[in-house]
Amino acid sequence: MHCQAIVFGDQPEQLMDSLIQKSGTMPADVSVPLEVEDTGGRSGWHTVNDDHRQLGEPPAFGYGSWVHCVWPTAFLRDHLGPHALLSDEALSRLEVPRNHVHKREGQWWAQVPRFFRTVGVRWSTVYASSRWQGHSSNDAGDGATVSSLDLEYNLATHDPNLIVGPTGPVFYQDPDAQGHNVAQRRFEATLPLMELPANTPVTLVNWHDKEPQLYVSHGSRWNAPSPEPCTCFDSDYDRPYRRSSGFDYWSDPGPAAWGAG
Amino acid sequence: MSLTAWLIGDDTESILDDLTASGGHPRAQIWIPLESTTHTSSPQLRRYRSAWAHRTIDGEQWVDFALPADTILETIGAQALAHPKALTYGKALSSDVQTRDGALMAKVPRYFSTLATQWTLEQVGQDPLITRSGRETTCTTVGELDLKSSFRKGRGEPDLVIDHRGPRLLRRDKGRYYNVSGWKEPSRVMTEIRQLPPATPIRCAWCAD
Repeated sequence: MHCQAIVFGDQPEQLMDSLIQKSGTMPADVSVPLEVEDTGGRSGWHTVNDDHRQLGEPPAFGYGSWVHCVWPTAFLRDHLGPHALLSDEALSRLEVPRNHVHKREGQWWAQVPRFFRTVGVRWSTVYASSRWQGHSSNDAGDGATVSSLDLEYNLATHDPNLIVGPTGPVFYQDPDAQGHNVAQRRFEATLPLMELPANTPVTLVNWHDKEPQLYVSHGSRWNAPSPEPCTCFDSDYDRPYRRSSGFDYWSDPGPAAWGAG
Repeated sequence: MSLTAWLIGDDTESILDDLTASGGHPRAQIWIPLESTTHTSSPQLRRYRSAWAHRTIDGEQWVDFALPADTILETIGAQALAHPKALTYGKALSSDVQTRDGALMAKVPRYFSTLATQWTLEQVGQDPLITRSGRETTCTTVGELDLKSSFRKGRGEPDLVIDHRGPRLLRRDKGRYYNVSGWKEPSRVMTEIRQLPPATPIRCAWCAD
């Protein structure tokens, strides 16, 4: 599905790259200990081959084995911070390629995306959109800032599934799911970002949750009908390879309350 | 979510009952260990380790868990409705989680998973059975069933097929049925139905959350 995002801050590339599996490669930005345990719960995993994977969205391509990892959501919230895209359940899960799991100083660690999960497979900046407007009714596509952004107009016009602040996502709505009270929750999540410095850049972004061939129905009535191909998948789509991440979370093993299991 | 289930043979309603969590509360029927892992002296990553965590919803205290297929297979048996060679998720009220003989255990439904909160034999969904005479029905026999038309292979197969061996659930993204012991192709499921005695009753049920 073709979706849109509004990204606040001067590093939209780094933030979006951490939310997207470019070329089917899952970002490996942050290390999370695989064995944690306290009185509130414990983590677990199961090594699986490609045939036994359970989480397919967005698809990550790879060969050989995967590790289906499960952590108590409370632990991940402490370890990854408030921007992590975690489950509402007590356990949050992620399947990572086996080569993203390493033993370091006697402890197994899994490398996961900076915000725990990814939401799509491609993204690109929208330039010179006539529908991306600021308060002065000028085209804000090239150089919108917090001070020039007409927030309510742009939320209503672009209906973004994703709002990203300078340090990470503040709102995400799964394109395949019916959200509850989406417009109100999105507005409330975005409003604090309008308190950022007036010259903070704001970028409109296109993103896709699946590669185009995965929209094709398998002949089942349960699958959504295949939409028209989107121009975002044209050959001039920008930057096919993900930049290396500049984030270093390796030195943060998480709160001491969570001991090795 | 709505599921279409086929009940094949006599006394299969009780199986559907055990797959139903009335009021959202799974039945507490069988004790299963919550803390299992593969033991190895190898420096390699162990194949699995179970996970669990507490949570509170609407004033009720629950334990959510993820258990490996080996543990479910050993405790419940091959008829358990769980992912083969992977983790399967479940939940139990905290009152159904106890330390027994030094091991943390949870009391789970007879087939480990539940799929719905209610079910009915009245046609409330689509894709009923079709007889050899072309009539739509919710109840017939294997001998009278137009299996190919009823199964709607690739278009609307039954989500759940229940016979005396227990339930198998269709995973639509893989196009195959499964229980904890493994995967089964729809064509194999159809062949097994075709080989049953003609007088075997077959009914269609609809399950809902």
